[in-house]
Amino acid sequence: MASNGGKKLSRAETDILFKRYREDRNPETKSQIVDAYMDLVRSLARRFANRGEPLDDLVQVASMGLLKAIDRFDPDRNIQFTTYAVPTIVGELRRYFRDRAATIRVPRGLRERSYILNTAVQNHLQEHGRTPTIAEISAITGINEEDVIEGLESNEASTLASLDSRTDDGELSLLDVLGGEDKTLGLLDERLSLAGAMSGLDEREQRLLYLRFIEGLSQSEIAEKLDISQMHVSRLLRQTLQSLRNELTTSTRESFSS
Amino acid sequence: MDKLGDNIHIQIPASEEMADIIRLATTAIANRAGFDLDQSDDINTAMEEVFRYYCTSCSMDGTEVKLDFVIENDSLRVRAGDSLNSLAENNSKIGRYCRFILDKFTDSFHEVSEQGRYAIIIEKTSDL
Repeated sequence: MASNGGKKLSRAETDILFKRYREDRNPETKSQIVDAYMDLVRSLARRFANRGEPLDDLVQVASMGLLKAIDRFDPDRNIQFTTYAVPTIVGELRRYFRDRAATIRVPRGLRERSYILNTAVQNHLQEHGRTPTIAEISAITGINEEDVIEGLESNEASTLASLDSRTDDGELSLLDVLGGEDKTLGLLDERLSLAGAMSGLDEREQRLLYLRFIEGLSQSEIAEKLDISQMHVSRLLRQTLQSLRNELTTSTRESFSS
Repeated sequence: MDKLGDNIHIQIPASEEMADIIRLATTAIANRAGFDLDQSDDINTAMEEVFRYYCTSCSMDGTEVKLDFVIENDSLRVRAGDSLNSLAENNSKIGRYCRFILDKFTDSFHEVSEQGRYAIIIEKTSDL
C-alpha cells in the first residue's frame, strides 16, 4: 500500500493515478504518485546509507529512479508498480555508486558535476526526445557553460565505461544486453569494407557498432534501447572506436612490414 | 553576441596526446554553433579521427595540424590540414576507416588540394 501525504492509498487508488497520468502526463498527477511512493524511496536509499554518502543525497538519487519508473510504467501490464519500481530505483542508486567509483581519480567537485550533468541530460532526453545543448544543460543545472564543457569532457576522458557495468534496472550487465548470438560481424565488416578488421573486437563492441552504423541509431536512441545513459553510450562508443582503430593501425603496419 | 561567420583557427602539434584538446575545443565550438550533445559527439568523433589519422598515417606539411572552424548559421564547417598525402587516395585500412567515420558522423566531407598540400573540408549542420 502506498501513502500520500500520510494517507495510505489502496492499490485501486494508485491504479487510477497511474492511468490518469498515462493519459494526461500532468505534472500534478505525477507529483501525487511521487508523494505516494516517497516512503519506498527513503527505505531503498537507507539500504545504501552505510557507504559513506549522505542519506539526503541518496534519497535524491533514489527519487530520480522513481521518476524514471513512473514515466516508464505501463499500468496495463498487470504488475504492481513496486515490482517495477524497486529494480529501477536500486539500479539508479547502484549507478550512482558505480559512477563515483569509476571516477575515483577525478576530484570530488568534478565527480559531483558529472553526476548532475548526466542526470540533466537524461531528464532532458526523456522530456524532449533529444539530447540538450550545452546552453540548455547550463540553464537546467545552473552550472556555467565552460564548466559544463569541462565536466562532459573530463567525464569522457577519465571514465572508461565497463561492459560489466549494470543497466539502469540493475538486473543486467551490458555484456548481457549487447551480447547474444552475433550475426552482425559479416554485415558490419562488409559495410565497413574493412575485411577482417572487426574480428579483433569482442562481440559486444561489434554489436554497439552495429546499432550505431547499421541500424543508424543516434547515441541517445542506443541509450534508450540499452537502458543506459547517453553519456555512457558516448564513452562506450569512443572506447570501441579506439579498439577498432588500434586493430586497423596494427594490421596496416603489419601489411607494410610484410 | 553574433556568432555568424565566427572563424576559429587552431594550430596544434601533430601528436595523439593532443586528441583530448581537440575534443575539448570542438565541444566548445559545437556548443557555439548550437549543437545538442548527440550532434556535438558526432563532430567530436569525426574531428578526433581526422586528427589521429593525420598524426599516425600521414606525412604532414610541418609538425602541426591546422584546423579552421567556421560557424555559419547553425552549421559548422572545418578545414583540417595540411598533409602531403591524399585521404581520398589512401586505400589502406586506416584510410578507409577514416573516410567511413567521416561519412557516418558528418553531413558531408571532401578533400581539397593546393600546390601538393591536401586538406579535408567537413560540414555538419545542427538539426535543432
